[in-house]
Amino acid sequence: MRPKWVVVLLVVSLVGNALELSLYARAEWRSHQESQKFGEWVQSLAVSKNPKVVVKEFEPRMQALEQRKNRWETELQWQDFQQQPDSAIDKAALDSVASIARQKYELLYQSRRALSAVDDPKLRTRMERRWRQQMGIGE
Amino acid sequence: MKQRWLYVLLVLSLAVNAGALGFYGVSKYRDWRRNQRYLSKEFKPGTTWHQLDRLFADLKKSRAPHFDTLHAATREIGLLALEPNPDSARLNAALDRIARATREEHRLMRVPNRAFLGLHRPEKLEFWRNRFKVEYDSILRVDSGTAVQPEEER
Repeated sequence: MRPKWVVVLLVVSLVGNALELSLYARAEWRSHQESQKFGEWVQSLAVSKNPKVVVKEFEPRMQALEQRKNRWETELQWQDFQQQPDSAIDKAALDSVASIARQKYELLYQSRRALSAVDDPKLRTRMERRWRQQMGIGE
Repeated sequence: MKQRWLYVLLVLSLAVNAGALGFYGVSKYRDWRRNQRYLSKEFKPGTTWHQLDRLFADLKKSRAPHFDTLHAATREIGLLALEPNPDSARLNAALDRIARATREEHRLMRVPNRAFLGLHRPEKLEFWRNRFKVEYDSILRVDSGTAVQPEEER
């Protein structure tokens, strides 16, 4: 092969190498960004899907509601596995899930109203921040 | 001498190119094989990834307005709780919106959930059903009042 063609081939091949490297770096960077975004999304979903009462005294009532919610959601999922789902159970479960959601948010609201009675200022500030985060209110 | 180094560099560069392309091809092929194996093991013959993607895309699309309502109502409750004299009518309206959106969200999930389960092979569906039954039974055991009654009647 003549040296001129060797040089052309080498340049093309080196450009190919550079392209592969840049594609690899881009894919790595993208996957890193995506995993970071996914982590943030999971965190925000966990906070917004499981809002917590900001005053301890309300916790037992919230836990009881969570348990009821879990029970009815499982009932709904169980119905999905049935050949002939029971529409009465379906309706009861959907009504219950809706009613529990209402009660949960009412309890959350009451717990925030009761926050001013908490003596510890550090705890109050922390709970205030959590409240804003879980309710989607900016700082 | 200079020419010999040129050849060495060319061979190395071409080898890197071939290696990168080969690695990419093999990993793509392996991914495809793994996905196909999972698809044929779990789902009825003829089920495609496109079908599954479509199912979840439709679900996401139909749930979106209810998610938005839920977020807006949650935010409103959050702000009302911070006010010195909150309007109880506004609070009740936001709570009602949350209840309605939650109900709709759960209701809408039923159709794609059932469609998704319907795509499974019968033996796999039985497997998942039996596994879920263990969880279902344990929840019913914890829940002492096992009679199915709507929440309002309690």
